[in-house]
Amino acid sequence: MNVDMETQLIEGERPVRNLEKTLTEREPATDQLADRQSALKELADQKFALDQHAIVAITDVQGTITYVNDKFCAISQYSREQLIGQNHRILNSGHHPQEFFQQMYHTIANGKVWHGEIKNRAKDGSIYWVDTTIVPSLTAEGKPRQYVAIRADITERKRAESALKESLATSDRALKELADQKFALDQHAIVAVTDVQGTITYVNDKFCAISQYPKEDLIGQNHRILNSGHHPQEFFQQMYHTIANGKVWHGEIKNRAKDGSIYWVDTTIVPALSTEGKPRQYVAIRADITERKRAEEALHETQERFRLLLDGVKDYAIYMLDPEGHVISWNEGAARLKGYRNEEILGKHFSCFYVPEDREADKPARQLRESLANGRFEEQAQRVRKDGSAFWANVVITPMYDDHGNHRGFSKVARDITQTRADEREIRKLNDELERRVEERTAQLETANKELTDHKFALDQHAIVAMTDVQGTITYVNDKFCSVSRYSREELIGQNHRIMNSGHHPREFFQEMYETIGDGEVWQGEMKNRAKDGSFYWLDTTIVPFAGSEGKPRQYATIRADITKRKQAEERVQQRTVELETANKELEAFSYSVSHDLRAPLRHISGFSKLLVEEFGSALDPAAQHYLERIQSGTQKMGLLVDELLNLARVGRHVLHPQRAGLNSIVAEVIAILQPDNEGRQVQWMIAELPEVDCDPVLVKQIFQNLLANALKFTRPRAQSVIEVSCQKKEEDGQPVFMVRDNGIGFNMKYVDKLFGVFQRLHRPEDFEGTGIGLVTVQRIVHKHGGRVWAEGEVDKGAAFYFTLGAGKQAGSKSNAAIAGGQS
Amino acid sequence: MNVGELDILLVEDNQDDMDLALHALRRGNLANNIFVVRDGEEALDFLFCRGAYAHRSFALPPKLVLLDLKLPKVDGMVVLKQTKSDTRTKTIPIVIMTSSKEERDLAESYKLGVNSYIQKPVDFDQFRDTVKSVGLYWLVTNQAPVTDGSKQLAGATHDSR
Repeated sequence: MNVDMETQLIEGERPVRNLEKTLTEREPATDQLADRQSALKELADQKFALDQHAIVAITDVQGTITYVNDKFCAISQYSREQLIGQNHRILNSGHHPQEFFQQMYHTIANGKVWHGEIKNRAKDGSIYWVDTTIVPSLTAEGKPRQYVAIRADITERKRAESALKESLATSDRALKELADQKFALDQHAIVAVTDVQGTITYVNDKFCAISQYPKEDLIGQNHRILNSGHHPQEFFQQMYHTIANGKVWHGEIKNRAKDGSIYWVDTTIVPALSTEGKPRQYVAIRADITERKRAEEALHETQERFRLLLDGVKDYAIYMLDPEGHVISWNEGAARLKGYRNEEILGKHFSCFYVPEDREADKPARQLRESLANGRFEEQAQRVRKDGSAFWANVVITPMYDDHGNHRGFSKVARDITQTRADEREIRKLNDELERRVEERTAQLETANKELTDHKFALDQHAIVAMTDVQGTITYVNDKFCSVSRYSREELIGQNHRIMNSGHHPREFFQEMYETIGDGEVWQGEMKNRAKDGSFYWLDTTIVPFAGSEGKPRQYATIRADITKRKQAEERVQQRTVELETANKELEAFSYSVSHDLRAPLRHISGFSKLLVEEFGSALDPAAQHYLERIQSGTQKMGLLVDELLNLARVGRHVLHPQRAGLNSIVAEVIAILQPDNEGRQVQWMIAELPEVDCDPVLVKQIFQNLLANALKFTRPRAQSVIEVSCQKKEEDGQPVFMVRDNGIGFNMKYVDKLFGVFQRLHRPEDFEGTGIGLVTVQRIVHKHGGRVWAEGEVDKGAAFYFTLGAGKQAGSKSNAAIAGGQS
Repeated sequence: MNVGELDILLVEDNQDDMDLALHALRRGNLANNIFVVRDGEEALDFLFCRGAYAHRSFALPPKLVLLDLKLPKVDGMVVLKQTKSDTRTKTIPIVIMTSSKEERDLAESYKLGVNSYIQKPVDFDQFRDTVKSVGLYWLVTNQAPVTDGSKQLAGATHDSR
């Protein structure tokens, strides 16, 4: 319906012009015409009104402007001529996205009314906003024919809106800032809000922390809850008076926390005023100044105490002089000693205390100068009282300076020593005697002291030294203590010794320690500490308590040695031992199963091949029998190998049982065992006198068994075997070196390294049987004893084996001597 | 088997070892009354006359037990221990025949009261000689504590305490 009206309205333009013309020409009118005229009139009125209030334009379907009214021209600043025929885009401000216009064109192209707010650009580039309604006029087919746009200038409204938005943003920012400030304030200050009656309505966390009240206990309470009773009533009256008048109050208040402890706060109370200018509530911002106040109070107390002390001193005249020597202050002792009352003496020159001769000799002024020059003047001399009587006085004059080093006068301390002087003469006699003795004693002490200093120096060089009081607070540390603990001296002094606790030792460890030293006894032990950087160190620690007068420990001296390296080594050794034990156990299990499981099948091979020969031998041809014999001897060799390997392993596991043993009897025993092997052979044994040595005889027997069996074996080609066993003392340490030598086939020294290797053999098995384990076993036994074994040989000239038993050092270099093994 | 005339109880799990041992005993004419059990549990059942051997009597123990150490189910050492710690069986001669010559096995066996400990030689001739001489010694040379009869057994058992 709206569309219809708009369409008529716009279309009515031309008719209106005609109508005016018609009216002017006063052509006769029919009723119908009159009706039409009246309707047109109404339309014209409406258009007029519209033109007065609205911005009107018409465009064709391509957007080309075909009509604009005056207000359009006015707002766009273009003349009508400039606009007609132009595309409406001429006014595009670029503010709206493309979609905005697409949506608009889509709406109106479909014959629908579009309504929206558009930001346009005027001819001079200025921006204006229009509330826009675009009405399509439709053809008979319902297609848009043209578009009528009616606009209202909303630039002002838009501006107001954006201003509002801006101001909202500003106030948001301000609120945010305020919140930030409140946060910052809460972090740094103690904040509370009370109403005008003093009832607390808000407190921040810091307020709760310092007052020790939870928030719930404070809100609704009168602020008096914190009153410490320190300040007089007037103090608070003055405060309430100030803030009740809307003024800021600032001052320092002493409050009482929940637990009764006292704290000081530097306080600013700001009244928040109502619109009538009356305080509505009070915001109190405080800073904790307890520490400062405490220091001030302590200072004040000291000063007060000092004043009382001065007045309390009756036997000493203590008074102050100005730089020229006039009395400016005076204690009670001075009044008593000199006989002047306060008001009589103040302002007088101090020379009145001197005897006339001294005064005439200008002593007073001289003494002041001397005091000034030397920082102090002292004498024992006669002085006079007010009544003229003289007395002996000990006088000390000290110059006084202010903070800036300006000379402010002198302090003078005088004491009546009349009686003392009489006594002194007697005392001096005694003193002289005493002094002589003291001198003697001092000389002794000095020597002792010097020694002590040397000792301390030596101690400081080598030991880690600290002193603590009975509570464990460190009072002294030396440089080594600092370097080991990585703390500086300043960090340590005054600290409890616990800061070095590593947590390694159980509580009982320290209890036992404190009990020992608490009883005045020396404690000794090894302690693991933690250094500043978190690393650990071990200390061999000795704590020596020093007894005080009642026999109770007064302080503790702690002397330590850094044993971290040793401890670490011990830990490593422990770890290695565990590893070794594990390996040993595994080896044991292994050799146990070898001894069982490896031997059994050998036995079976041997047994059944033997049975084959015995029971079916006649049916087998000689080659088959020969093969069976080879199987037999193979199993025998394998059995021997297994046994010897097991023996080698057993030697390795064997725990030494050293005892004094005569080697000659061991050698004789071995020769007897070997006897069956040399039946029918010519063997010349040359056994020298051998010493008794500390060794494990069971193992040493195995050494000789192997070496002598070897000697027998390798001299087999000789018509007569010569086997020599002897012993020589080594030159450097007199340690016995044992030798087993033969005249056998010998060996080439270039293979000497192979002699002591497992399964290493220098001969073909057809020539000399053997497993290659014997010499390895010898070497292992020798090493177990801490000795060494080596060999010398030459092809066809025989071989010699040497060994020591005991912690033998490197043997002297021998030509052709090969050293096997080394330290095990 | 004639329950009255048992000479040797052979405790051996390994078929090869069993065959070789039986062969050696047969060669020594000692194989007439041999009974073989294949694990420690069976050996204990046999010696203590229980389970499958409940029909046996403590009055007629074997004259010799040849005992291997590594056995299934119950270890040879346990068989030795239980047999030697029970008054009904402790007088039965037990000879351990094993591959092992571990010192700890030796020491432990003698501590438990073994009568003899023999390591089986790898060489079959030696093995055969050993088995034969052990058999001859315990069955012929040695005087057993009980020749026959339960009365004498009871007396001997008490005397030996």
